[in-house]
Amino acid sequence: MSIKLLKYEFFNMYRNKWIIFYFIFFLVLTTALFYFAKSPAKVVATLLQLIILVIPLTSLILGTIFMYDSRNFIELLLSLPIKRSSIYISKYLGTTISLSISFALGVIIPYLFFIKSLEEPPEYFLYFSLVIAGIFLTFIFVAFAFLIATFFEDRVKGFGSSILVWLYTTLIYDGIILFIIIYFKDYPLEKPVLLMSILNPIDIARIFVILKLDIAALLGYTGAVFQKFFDTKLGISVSFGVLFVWIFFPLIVGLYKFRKKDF
Amino acid sequence: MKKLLCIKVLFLITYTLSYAKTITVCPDCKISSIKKALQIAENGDTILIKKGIYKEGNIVVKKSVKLIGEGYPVIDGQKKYEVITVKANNVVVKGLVIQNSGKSDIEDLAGIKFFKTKNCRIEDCILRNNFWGIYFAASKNGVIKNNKVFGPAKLEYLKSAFGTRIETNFGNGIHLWHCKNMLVESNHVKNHRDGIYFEFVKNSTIINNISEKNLRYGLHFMFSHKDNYINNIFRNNGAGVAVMYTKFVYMANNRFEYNWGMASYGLLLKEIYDSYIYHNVIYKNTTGIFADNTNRTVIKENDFLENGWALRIWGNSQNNIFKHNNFIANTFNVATNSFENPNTYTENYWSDYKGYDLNGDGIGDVPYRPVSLFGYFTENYPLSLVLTRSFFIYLLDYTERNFPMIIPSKLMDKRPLMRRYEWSR
Repeated sequence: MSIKLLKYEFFNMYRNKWIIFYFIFFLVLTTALFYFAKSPAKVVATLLQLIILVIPLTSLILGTIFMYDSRNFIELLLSLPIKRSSIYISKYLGTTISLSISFALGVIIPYLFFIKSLEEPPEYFLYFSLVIAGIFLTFIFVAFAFLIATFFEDRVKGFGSSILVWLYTTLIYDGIILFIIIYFKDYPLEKPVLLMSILNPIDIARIFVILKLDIAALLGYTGAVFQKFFDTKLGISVSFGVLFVWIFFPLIVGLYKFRKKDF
Repeated sequence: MKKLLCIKVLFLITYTLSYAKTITVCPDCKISSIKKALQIAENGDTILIKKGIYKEGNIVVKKSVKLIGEGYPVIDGQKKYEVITVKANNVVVKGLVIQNSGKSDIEDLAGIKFFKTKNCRIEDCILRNNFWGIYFAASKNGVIKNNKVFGPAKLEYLKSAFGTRIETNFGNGIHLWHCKNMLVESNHVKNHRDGIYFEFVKNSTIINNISEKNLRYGLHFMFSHKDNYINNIFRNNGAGVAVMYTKFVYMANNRFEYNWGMASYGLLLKEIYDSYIYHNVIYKNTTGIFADNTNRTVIKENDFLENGWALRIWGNSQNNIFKHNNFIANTFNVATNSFENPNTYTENYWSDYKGYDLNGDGIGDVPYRPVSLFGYFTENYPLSLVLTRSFFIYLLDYTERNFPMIIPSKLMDKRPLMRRYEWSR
């Protein structure tokens, strides 16, 4: 039953103009970047900045919209003998998978198209770490969006808190890090800052990709500490672990709320 | 009277010709060793060394002779000795392969060492696998020309050993110490510790050389006043080029490129006074020019392309002039740790300048501030580099550029160029 639901949700998403628009946005953007920059490393550098900005925002906003919009349908499903958790999970997977596919296709098609004509090294690993980072961000922020949408009945409150989550993770959190760096400049802060930045999914994604770009050399000693951490198995498993925690924490809380919710 | 002069000249020529004899050395000849040839040679003689391998330990040249190689004879130090030591004036060394000098922690064993000499030349030689390459100490008027100096130090050694200093296991390619009026021309130095090393060398010129893949500096330059280095390429060195404690240096037409790493500089300037940096291309370095206590220096018509920091200038650098430079696609254009601006920036081209030019004179009407807030942060709190490419930083930079509060507000180019400054190459 849940597979059927998932299938329905997935194809239903493609009837939605937002998803198509999302795909076209990345397609046009990446094509333009390849057309002008002509070097995968440079394209990744620019795309990274957009991805860590756009994906969390769109995932949050679209996730909240979809959840609110399908309220009637959910109520209909609830009247049928289907488990609440499978409704929620299939809705979640349908949304995240379709968003991820739109994003991944949007950035990979131009890459495959241009890669043969470029003289620069293809940078497969770099490019696919970017794609994977983007997909993780989608999964995390859609989970947050669903949590918010189940939590607040009021749409305005829902959108407001979505934007708040976005502001916090992209702006305020980095501001706090910068403040700590400046305020405690006399202390050896490499490890605390490392810890702080792997607690924020956007920062993990950003640092993970940056360490693979050639601007990593600019990071000097700090970069060496980070590189050392991310090169070890522990570092990789911890950062992926944190990313999974960031997916499952809002998802499970949302699911719990959804099961208890009085529709 | 004229006849007499003619006869005198003729006599002189024949005399010198008969006097300056040529001694041929080859593995199968009567004289089969260079040491033997040196014993019988007189001042002004030529020793012609034919093709072959000569393993003779340390060859000491104490007479003013010419050592000419034919078909590149190999002179091998067997990894034990200094291969050739020259202690006489007017010695010419040409066309030899000098290889495998010994290694020592106490002495600077070199492929070829000139000690207290005048007017010596080394030309067209190939030096392979030596501890030190060409070593001039306390010499005058020497010429080092068209040599290939390839050492044993590979850059991988440095990369694999982060934290352990293994640089001391290798010597410099061309090493000049306490010299005067020297010429280093058209050499190719590779895989040494420092490519070209100058210490207490005055009135000398380094021209048309290539120095690449050295562990530390491509060119290391200290206490060497009134020198020129022109038309050289410094590429892919562990730490780029360092010019230190020096007055009156003229640096022109050089390329500093691909010095990319944690502690790499295109050009590191420390305690430089009254110098001139002109028509250089600084491409793809972590730091293009790093200026620490650099004063009264003119930096004019250079290209800074795709560097991490095009220019890092510390507050103790004063009265420098930056004019007609092109700053294109650098991550940070200028970084400084000072609130003041004791230097002059004028009529440079900055590729991220967003101003306009109403009267069409090619000069932007809005001043350009080359120091970004983030650049300022990174200079003072290096750890803040972890926020590279964060959206928060982008916003901060944007607001600060429009309403500067923290960045040195006087550090600006009041006359930024609208188009790239084309200097004749």
